[in-house]
Amino acid sequence: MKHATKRKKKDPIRLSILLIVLISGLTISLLGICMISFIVIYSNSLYQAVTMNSEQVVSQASKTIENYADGMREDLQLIAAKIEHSRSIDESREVFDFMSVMQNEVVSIMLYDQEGNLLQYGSKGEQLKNDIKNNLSFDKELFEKEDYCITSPHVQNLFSNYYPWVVTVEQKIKMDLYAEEVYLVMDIKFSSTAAYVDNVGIGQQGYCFVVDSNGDFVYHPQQQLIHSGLKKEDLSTISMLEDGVHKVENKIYSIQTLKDGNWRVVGVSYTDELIQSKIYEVLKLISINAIICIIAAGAIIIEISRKVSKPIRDLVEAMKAFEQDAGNYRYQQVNGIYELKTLSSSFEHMVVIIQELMDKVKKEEVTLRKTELRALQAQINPHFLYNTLDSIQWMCEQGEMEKAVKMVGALAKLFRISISKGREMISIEDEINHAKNYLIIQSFRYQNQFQYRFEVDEDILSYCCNKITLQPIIENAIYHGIDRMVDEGEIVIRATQEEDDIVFTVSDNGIGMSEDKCNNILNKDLNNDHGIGIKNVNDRIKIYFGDKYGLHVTSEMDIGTTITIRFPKINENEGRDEV
Amino acid sequence: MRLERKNLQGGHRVKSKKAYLFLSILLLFTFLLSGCIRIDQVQEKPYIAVVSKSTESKFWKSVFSGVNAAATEYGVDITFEGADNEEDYLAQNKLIEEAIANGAQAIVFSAIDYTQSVGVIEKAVDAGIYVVIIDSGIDSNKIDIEISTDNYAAGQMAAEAVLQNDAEELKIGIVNFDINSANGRQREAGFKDKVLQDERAEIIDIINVDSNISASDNDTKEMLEKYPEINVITTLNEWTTLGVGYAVDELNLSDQIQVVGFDSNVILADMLERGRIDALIVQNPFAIGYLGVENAYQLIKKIKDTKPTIYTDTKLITRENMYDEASQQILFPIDSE
Repeated sequence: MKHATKRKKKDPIRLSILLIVLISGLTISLLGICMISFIVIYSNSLYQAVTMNSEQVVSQASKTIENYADGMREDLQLIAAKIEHSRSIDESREVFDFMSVMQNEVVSIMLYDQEGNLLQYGSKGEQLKNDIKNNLSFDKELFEKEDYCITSPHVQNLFSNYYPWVVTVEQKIKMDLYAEEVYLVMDIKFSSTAAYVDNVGIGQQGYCFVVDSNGDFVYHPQQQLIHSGLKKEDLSTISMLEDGVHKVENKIYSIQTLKDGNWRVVGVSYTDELIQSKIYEVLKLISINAIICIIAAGAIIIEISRKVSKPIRDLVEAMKAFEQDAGNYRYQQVNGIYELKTLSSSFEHMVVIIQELMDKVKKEEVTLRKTELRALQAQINPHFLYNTLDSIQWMCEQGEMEKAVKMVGALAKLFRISISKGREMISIEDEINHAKNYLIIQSFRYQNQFQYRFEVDEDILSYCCNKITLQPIIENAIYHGIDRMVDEGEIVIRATQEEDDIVFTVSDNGIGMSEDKCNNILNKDLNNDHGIGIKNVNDRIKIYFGDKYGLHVTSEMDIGTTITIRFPKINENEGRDEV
Repeated sequence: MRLERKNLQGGHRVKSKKAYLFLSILLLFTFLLSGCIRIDQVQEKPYIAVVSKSTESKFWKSVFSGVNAAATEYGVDITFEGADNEEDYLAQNKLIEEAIANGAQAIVFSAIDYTQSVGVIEKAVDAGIYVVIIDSGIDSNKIDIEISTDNYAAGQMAAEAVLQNDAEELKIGIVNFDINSANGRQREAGFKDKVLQDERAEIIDIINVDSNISASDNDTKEMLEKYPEINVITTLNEWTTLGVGYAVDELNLSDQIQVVGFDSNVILADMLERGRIDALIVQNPFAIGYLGVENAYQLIKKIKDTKPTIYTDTKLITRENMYDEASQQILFPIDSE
């Protein structure tokens, strides 16, 4: 009881649950820590990689465009040097044609006067339009301002059925042929540069575009989308940013101004796309691994539970079972890890030893009790003896010799049977006689207070029984049943057989006993005059024949008490052997 | 007893060793597997099939540029295929079947015929393929998104260009292309609705020609011979505009007849500059192609609910504004070389 309540209060944790909590907690927290630190490190390094990548790409693009511009300038200077001193229009024209045919990218080479009138030109054989209106390749304002300049890309509209996108490079030169300075102008195809810029990719979705110093587009791979308003580029922000890498909202801008200070190359990449998608991917991977780890942890837990926790539980159950019924316990070995198996077999060993010890103790105890009981039986209650002798003396004095002789005879028989050569088992006949002698003595003492009657099955007389079984019960009937009655009482002693058992009953019609008393009578050592209590009788029968046998008390107040004694049939020989 | 126990334990230990070996192999395997998953993920790009009316015309080349730009930007695999001529809807249907068979996740489609490709497109939709219609639609309500020029508005824009003509009477001839093409019909309707609001306008003749230069050239000449009073011709796509331009030039009627056409290319630009054609309604094919792929990608990735209909803008280009900076880029897309 105590044990159980304690259990309930504290409710100690089970090993398997502890393991599950520990391992899964450890796995999850470890994974979580790994995940977080990994993501932090990974995103940092990714951001750095992205930044570096976009910086490199833009610097590469800038270099390419610079080289391209340098090449154009060199070409123009070369042409200028060649035609500076040419003596005739034809001579310079030859140079123009040669250069424009030689250089794949060159669309045309023109010579204009300061008003924009075409003086000479060379091309790859395209037909010059008859009336050129609004020449897009001649920008008077710009040309006047600078000795050398490059325009933004535009459509060239000088030749019929030919509208290439070009950039125009211009240089003021002095020629022997013309008095005033003239403009040497070269239109160079922009498509290859455009294609180059188109193909500059930064990450998956990043791209490059070119703006001029005013912050207007020079070229954007998706300028058609920008023109139709489907796409926007935050030019005002970009024009404020200095060269280098900048993070604006979710975009990374990498900006580099070209050498000549005119154009700026802007690389755009998306942090979202580059970093977050990667992290998302990694997260997905990690979570897959996490799930696998948790499953593995689960498998390990199951394995541990199978190998450790369950055997321990089994062992605990086994110990509990052993605790409850040690005598009849049969041990079953548990499976599991080595240590537990050792523990288990040790326990098994212990069980065997304890059971052996228990048997031994029981036997020793029985022997001890028997010895004790025999010693008790041998005692003669001095009060009983004194009272009886007193009665005899009184009879002698009254001259009732006959009665005195009968009483002395009864006392003598009583003692002879009591002693019975020290044997425990005596014949039922002797036991009945013992009871009869006792009643003879008591009936003298309690004259006219009660009557008694024996109903004995003659067939059972030869069987054996423990000695002094009836007397204490009769004594109880007299002292606690009849003695306090006003009317004359009656005691009936029956001895019958029921299959393999002998049943004695002692019934009185006395005052009866309460339920408490009924219980007490079998459990407490009530001293009586003869020294042997009812409990003693009960104990003896149980010790000799087992729990099945013994005394049974039924009692009703004011009606009477019946005590039944049950024990197996024992032959004379068996009875002798017992001792 | 002791010996027996030892044996028993030995047996068990072998068993559990096997179990641990199995467990570790399983773990190793799963790690390898997850590595594979990752590689697969990196390699797996969405595949979008673009089926156009043609791959030859300037318009469709520009669409292709837009498709390419979006494909690069969003990292998708695309195929760009079209019929050999703009009447061959059977070839288109075959291309769609192939796209379905090749496991396209989305089809960007421009229909030659308003009705003939409905079956095959609905089959694709039923197969779980997203369908984005560009430029020219079909008679089906299973389409996810339609991206095109607002053809009715474009027709009206053409009408506005015609109405700037200050002639007393506008005797109009319309040269349209395939009568089954949805966008041609819408342009025509927009044009008629707008132009007929003006009392001067009268539609003399409407012809539907095959969508190529020579058919348009010949049929236009025929029409002009039949109705010499015509002083305005409206024509509704790139090929017919070219044909009309040639016809008017060959008949030396450039000065008498106002020609309003659609789309642009180098020759049309030249015709516009020389006055054979007076105005061009230029669509934004780059945007159509770009938006087609972009929206298909968004559908595949389920990024957002895209609008069912997206109109791209059109510009009226005349001789006067053709060299404006903005017009340059519309009239001469930079991918023209």
